Amino acid sequence: MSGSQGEDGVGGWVAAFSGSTVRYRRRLAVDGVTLKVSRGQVYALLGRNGAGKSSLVRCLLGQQRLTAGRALLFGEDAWASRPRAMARVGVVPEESDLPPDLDADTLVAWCQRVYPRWDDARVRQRLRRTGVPPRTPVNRLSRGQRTQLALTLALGHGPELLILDDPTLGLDAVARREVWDTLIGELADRGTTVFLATHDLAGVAGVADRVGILVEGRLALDEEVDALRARLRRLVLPAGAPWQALAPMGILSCQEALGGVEVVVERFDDALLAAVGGGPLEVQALTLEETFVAVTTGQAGGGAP
Amino acid sequence: MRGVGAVLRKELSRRSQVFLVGGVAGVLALLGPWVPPLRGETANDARLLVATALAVAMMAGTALVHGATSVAGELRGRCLSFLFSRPLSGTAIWAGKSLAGLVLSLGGGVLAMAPVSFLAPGGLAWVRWEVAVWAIAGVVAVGTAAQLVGVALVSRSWLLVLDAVALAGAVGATLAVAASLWASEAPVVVAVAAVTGAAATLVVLLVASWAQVAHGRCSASRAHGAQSLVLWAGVACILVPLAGYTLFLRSATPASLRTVTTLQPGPDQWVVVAGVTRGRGDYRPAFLLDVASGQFLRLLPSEHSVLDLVFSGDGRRVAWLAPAGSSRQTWQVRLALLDIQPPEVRETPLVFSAKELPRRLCFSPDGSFLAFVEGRDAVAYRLEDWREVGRVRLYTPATARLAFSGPETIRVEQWKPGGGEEDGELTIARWELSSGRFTETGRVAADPTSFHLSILDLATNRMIVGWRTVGERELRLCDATTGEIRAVLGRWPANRVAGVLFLADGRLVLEARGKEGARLRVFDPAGHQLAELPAGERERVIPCGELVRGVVLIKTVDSRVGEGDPLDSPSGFLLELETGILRPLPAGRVPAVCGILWRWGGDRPRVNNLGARLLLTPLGAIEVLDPATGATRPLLGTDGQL
Repeated sequence: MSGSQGEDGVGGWVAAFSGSTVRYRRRLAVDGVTLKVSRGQVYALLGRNGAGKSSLVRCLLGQQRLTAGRALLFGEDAWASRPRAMARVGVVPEESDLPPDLDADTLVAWCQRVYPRWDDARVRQRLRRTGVPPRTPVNRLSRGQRTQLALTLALGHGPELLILDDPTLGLDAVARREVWDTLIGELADRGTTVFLATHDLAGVAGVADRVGILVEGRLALDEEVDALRARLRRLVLPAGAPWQALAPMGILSCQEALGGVEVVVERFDDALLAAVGGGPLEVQALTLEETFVAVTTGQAGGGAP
Repeated sequence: MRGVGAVLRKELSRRSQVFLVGGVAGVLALLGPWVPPLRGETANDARLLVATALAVAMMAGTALVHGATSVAGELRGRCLSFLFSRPLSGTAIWAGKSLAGLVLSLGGGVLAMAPVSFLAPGGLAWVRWEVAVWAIAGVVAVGTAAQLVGVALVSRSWLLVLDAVALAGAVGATLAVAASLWASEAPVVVAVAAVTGAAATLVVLLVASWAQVAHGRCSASRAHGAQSLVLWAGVACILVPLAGYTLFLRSATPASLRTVTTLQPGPDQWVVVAGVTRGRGDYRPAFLLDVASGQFLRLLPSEHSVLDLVFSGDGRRVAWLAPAGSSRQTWQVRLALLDIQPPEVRETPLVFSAKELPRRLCFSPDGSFLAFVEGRDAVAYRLEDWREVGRVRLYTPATARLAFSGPETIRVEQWKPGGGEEDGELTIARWELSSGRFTETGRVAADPTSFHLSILDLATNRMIVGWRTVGERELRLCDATTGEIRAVLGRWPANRVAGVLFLADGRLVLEARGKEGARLRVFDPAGHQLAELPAGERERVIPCGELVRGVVLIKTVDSRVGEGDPLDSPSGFLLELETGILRPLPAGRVPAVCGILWRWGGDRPRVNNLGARLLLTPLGAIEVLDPATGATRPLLGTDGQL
């Protein structure tokens, strides 16, 4: 993977990992992950706690060094070119890293000096809209307000890439909704590329274009959301139907359901379904959460490169 | 710079209350006169004292707290990523935080001083660049050290164990190097090493703190690793050269001497030599050197340590006094004794605590007893068991001269003040150590302003005493026991008699200078003049020693002689007394040791003693003259400033 392939304007990717490995002494946190985030794409990196999501995010931000492999931002090594790359990146970390004793006004003024392309009016408008008090120190803001402030500061300079590490962690449903709304609004307005690590499968389902699922440090799945939905299906067959004929679709699970048999397949095929005969009572696409559970419990995968 | 400014602004925003505290401290300092312990001071001084104390506390405290929390606190609170996720380089983040610590600390200190400085007369006296340099260095050192320690503790890494080991090693090595340097008694070397070491340490601390932030970024363990690597490598880079230089300093040998500043020969083959060596600054190593074999022994770390040194008459022992510490009021002095064959320095139990240094060491002829002046007393010790065998009170210790006239008998010569301001007499006494009896045997009346010198020849029981009458000096040959005058040797203009030499056969040679130049006069043992030898028209003609019987080594000095003159000043000659023949020493060499006050116990120098055989070459090297052949042999290659 060369740097020029992913450079801005080439129409390729803006962020990428290649054979990336992170090791904490004896523990392997990330194991040879390779993935790309294309321009304009919303990439959701999913995984259970400790799967290695945050490690990958920190490496992409140039805050942590990979044990092996490469992390690239805009075609350059993320560790070496961090200050330059950060001018084009907005970041919302998992835990608030805002200086606890400074207020929103001070932070906005400070960021205005740091970023040459700071949109102060838009930032202040967004703060008003999200109800973040301007003169209250960060340590007296609610968790939701802190996240909104972080998101607002991350978007203030019109970043080309937004990197979010579980931004809705610990937020209540309303606050979560507000975060996703802000994000969706930003995407609608600017088409910003987003690399997102999250547990919030429900929230991310509406915005992600592509998902990657980390299982114990390895990328078990990396696929477009639409393709995933088309591929993974739940079929409800009448009782006594020859569900074994679905084997070529890759049966992930099979269990008795009310009035029939429920079969989950990982390579759904209409033609093959017709050949089974009798036809299913119902064909459903899996939710992202169901997909995540299926992948992380070892029942599905194969989408990873 | 924009990044540095941004980080600086953020840090100052977070801790701006420091300036408020500094201002409050400044106002509180105005209450100095009401502080109970300062009620004895003037109001002005009390305010300045309190303000200074508060300012120093402000600076040290702020540097400490800011240093310990600015990085470590943010690493622990996971806030440092706020800066690292901005377009700010690691160097800018480090510089901004460091500058903030400096600005906050100095700002707080200046604010604490400000009210008193402007209100009190002379309150701005502290505004000097030296104060600024020390304050900046101190704040940077405290702040940076606190930053390193803070991150090390936050990381909770196993590296802490290595840090502790490395710290212990560094402290131990530093103490060892410092002790060795300190013992060299070379204040310039010590000062340069201390300043260089401190400055280098400061640089290492700064580089380590930079590595901590720039390379550690948001990881405490990575920051700790980076700082430890730089810190201990840097400390090693300071300590290894310093230790190497210290070894080099202390490894000086007589061959290292570039300039000989002290040359003190014993009776036979041993000489105490000290001087300047190349690349060792003001370190003055002192050696006991065997001129026959070249074998040497380091006497003390430095020539500065030799307060007084004396050989025994048989040349077997050397004793000297060395500082053993000092307090504000008293000196601590240690007496060291060295048996020359085999060479062994014996530490003695004698450590004196006195307002005045012990002095006038003298050995008994066989080196069994040592006497000296201590305080107001003359004391004698038996060296076998270091037992004090006698002590007598002196009239005037500063004028006292001690000399063993027998194995256990000491001749004591001292000035005894009279009733009037200018009255008094030179008294001579015999002090028998076996019985403790102190008997006055003679006296020489004189007024204290005229008494000038006394030169003793114990072997023939004679002494020369000089008086100054109006405009003239008169030399008399006296009985060394009774003080009775045996002969008047002559009168010369004041301050014009310098060199006197007693010869082995009882004759004596002295230098007398008149308007026409210097002359050597030769007297028989009874004091009758035998001859006057012009020895050329020189300003000075100094008899330096009797090389063989009847042949005197002399040194002439004449600044009036033109360049290229074969007798150019200074020059050395061998003078045959019987014939008056003057033979120049080879190739412009001069006697290296000249003078009248021989150091071993007042005994007359023997013929062919070592002092008479040491020559100084025109290039400053020291050579040994063979009296039999007249040949010379190099001893010390120096560019000699003897």
